[in-house]
Amino acid sequence: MQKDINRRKAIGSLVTAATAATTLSATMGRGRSRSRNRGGRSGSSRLENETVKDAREGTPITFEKFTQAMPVPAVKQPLAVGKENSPFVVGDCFHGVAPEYFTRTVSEDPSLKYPEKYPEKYYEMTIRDVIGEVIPGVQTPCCGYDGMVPGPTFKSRGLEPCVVRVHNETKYECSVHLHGGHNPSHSDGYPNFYVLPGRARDYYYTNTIPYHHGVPDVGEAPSTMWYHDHGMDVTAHTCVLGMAGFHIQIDDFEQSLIDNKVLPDDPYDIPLMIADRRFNEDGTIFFDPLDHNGYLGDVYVANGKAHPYFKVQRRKYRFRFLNGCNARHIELRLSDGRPFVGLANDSWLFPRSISRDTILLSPAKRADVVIDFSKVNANELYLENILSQDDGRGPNGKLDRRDTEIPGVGVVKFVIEGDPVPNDVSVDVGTELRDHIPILESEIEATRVFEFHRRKGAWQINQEFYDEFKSNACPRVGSAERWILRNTAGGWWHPIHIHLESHQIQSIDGKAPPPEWAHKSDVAMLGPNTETELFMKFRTFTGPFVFHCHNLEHEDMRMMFVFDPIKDGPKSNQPLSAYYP
Amino acid sequence: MSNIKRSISVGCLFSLSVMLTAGCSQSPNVASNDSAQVESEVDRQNNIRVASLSTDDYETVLDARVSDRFPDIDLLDHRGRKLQFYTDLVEDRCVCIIYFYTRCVGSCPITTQVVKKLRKDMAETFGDDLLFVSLTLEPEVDSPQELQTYMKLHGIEDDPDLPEWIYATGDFEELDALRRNLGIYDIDPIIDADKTEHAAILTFGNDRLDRWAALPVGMDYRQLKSAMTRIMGNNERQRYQSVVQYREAMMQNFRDNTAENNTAENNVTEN
Repeated sequence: MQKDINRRKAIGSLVTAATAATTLSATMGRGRSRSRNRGGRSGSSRLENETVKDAREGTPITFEKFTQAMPVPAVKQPLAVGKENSPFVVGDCFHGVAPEYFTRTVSEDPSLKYPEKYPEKYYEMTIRDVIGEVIPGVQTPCCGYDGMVPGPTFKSRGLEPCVVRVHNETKYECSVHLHGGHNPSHSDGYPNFYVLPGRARDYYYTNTIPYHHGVPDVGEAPSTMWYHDHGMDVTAHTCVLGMAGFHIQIDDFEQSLIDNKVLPDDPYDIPLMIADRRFNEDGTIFFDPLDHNGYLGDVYVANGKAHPYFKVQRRKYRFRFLNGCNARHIELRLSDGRPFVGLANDSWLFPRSISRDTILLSPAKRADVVIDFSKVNANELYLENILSQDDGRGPNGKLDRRDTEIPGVGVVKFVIEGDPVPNDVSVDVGTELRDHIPILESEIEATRVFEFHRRKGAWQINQEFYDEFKSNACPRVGSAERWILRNTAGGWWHPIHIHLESHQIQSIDGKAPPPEWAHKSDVAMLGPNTETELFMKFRTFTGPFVFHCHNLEHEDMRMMFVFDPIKDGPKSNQPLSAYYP
Repeated sequence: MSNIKRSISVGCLFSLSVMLTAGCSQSPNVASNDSAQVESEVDRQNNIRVASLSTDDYETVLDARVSDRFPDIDLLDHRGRKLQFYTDLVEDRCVCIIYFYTRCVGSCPITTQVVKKLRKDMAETFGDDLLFVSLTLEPEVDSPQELQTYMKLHGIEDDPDLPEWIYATGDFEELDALRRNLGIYDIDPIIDADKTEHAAILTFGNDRLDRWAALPVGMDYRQLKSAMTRIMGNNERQRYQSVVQYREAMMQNFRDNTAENNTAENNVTEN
């Protein structure tokens, strides 16, 4: 007893030393003698006298990198296709289904139905705890969709509605957000539209595209989306535990590119989620819910495996990179300096593919690229992160002058095998992809300014905290607005994600955005003291939706605002027009 | 120590507040010795009323908790009791931790009023199941007498019908280390040196279920309360009951508090 107290006191004084000198003796043990208080625990004897170290000062586990293969998440299979085959009564669960499932109308003109083309599909998914093996030979408890980390990949066709019944078997209040999609508010993962533990919710993904002057706007059809948890106060924790997965949508146009051998097809089209984690000595994931700056890991996990290798043929591969970190920004580079062929930013294909030397990704940003391994002579190539970041504030340096280190940290090792494959797909720099319809200055109905800043240990937007029941911005549904996002907080980076639709960045600090951000995005990276001007449309669905900082710790500390497209806008500060608990 | 209390099982959670009122004599006897004497009134005052909820059959997979990192520092509370932060105030309990100092005129009085209201309102849901702990940022000034004066000044009483609220002081270095462990600090040392920066965050959690969060005091009160019950609640009733109650009230009494927060009149300009 006395010994235990001394241990805790020792920890206290050591932490003092650590915060002063930012070093902590690596030999500091974490006694587990508290198990004395949980007498009778089954199997407690194993840990009773052992010393388990946590990862506060870094992962204490060492392992050889690039010894395990990187998996590609399995594709989620539907239970049934077509309304007449529906395997459950849609809406007959605790949290119900979106009203749009029954009306199928466009909010700006209820006489119009939103475009649909394919019969709807029905899925069922369970969020549950699972013991995974992230580091080779180490058991790690995670939480995942269908018990998988990352979750199963949904593949849907554009204009193919789907209903996903999500069951929650964890202890967390979850809310699944389909990031990059254009979907009803009920199914958008509004932070308190929960799937409570033991309950279920029918998520209705219309997979539709909005109208542009009465014609479906095919430029808005998304490609690489991802879904992750968005539950109030616990988002950072649940995402670190593994609640994230891909949702890939292919519309007719993109399918034609694949059929015409322009873009790589399925086995050569790889979603790749990069996340940083820290592991305690016992294999559990280290997470401190009381660290509000932002979670940083020192182990890079790609598709659920720490520093894996991936075997490829000598041909073109399409990779859908996703930064699944909470707070770490990454800048990807190939170890031989070879440029990528950039296909898309976030969910949307470029008008023409571009050449990209490095790929800067803030948390939640995606980038679709093609890597041509047929031109690589070596048998190994590393995908590395060259951006240095020391704390949750953001990467070192400024948005346009970032501190990078070459060589960086190897994330994935590509092992290249065989001879160049003949008759490969034709995509290269300059290939025509998807049309882009710019939002015109003349369409703008209102201008709003949002300032992101820190105040008394928490984060605010326009001097306000997030209020679940107040719409801070109510654009007129169907209209376009100019939003100015201003980051005034000293030294903090804020990647701002706006739900519902893409936005088009007009300028960053008065200058034109770089080519990869010049079209559509759904995360606007705000560097320190940066001002970003963007145009955005609010179509098809009324709210509420949120926009927030995608540094998930900042989001959990209420750096979030609500926007709610309504019919008689534009307005500010209204009660929510709808509520779907 | 206190083996009896630790045998409370999960199944009893619903009747817990009843048991706790009846069972407070089983609470750990903090300052006096452990001899099985009949408790005098003085001894009773020395009890921490919030029971420890540990059960025999609850365990995490590999047994790591957030609170493992909290140092078990010595504290002196407003009644002069010697307490240990982890063992007496956190372990297996629901606790809400507030940083303050008696000379503070910035955030502290507002925070104190909010917590006072929370203490009253959360008694309905949690009963005796919850503990509020105010830790001083200026232990060199705040003696137990000062703390008592501060409590009197703000009308805070030791009320057996309300969750217990402890004001505590201790060693500056230790309290400062604890503050950093609880995440109440700023990376920028200049901002961190301003004590009022740390007095507007409530850090709360349920150690038994290992759920912790922190929220700014300045947010909407009802949502703050709801978030606290959701994170700290031991069962569905405690966690989600208030969600239903305040949701309805919220929708009816919508209030635009933009002006109060002293922001620009309206953040929208029509073109």
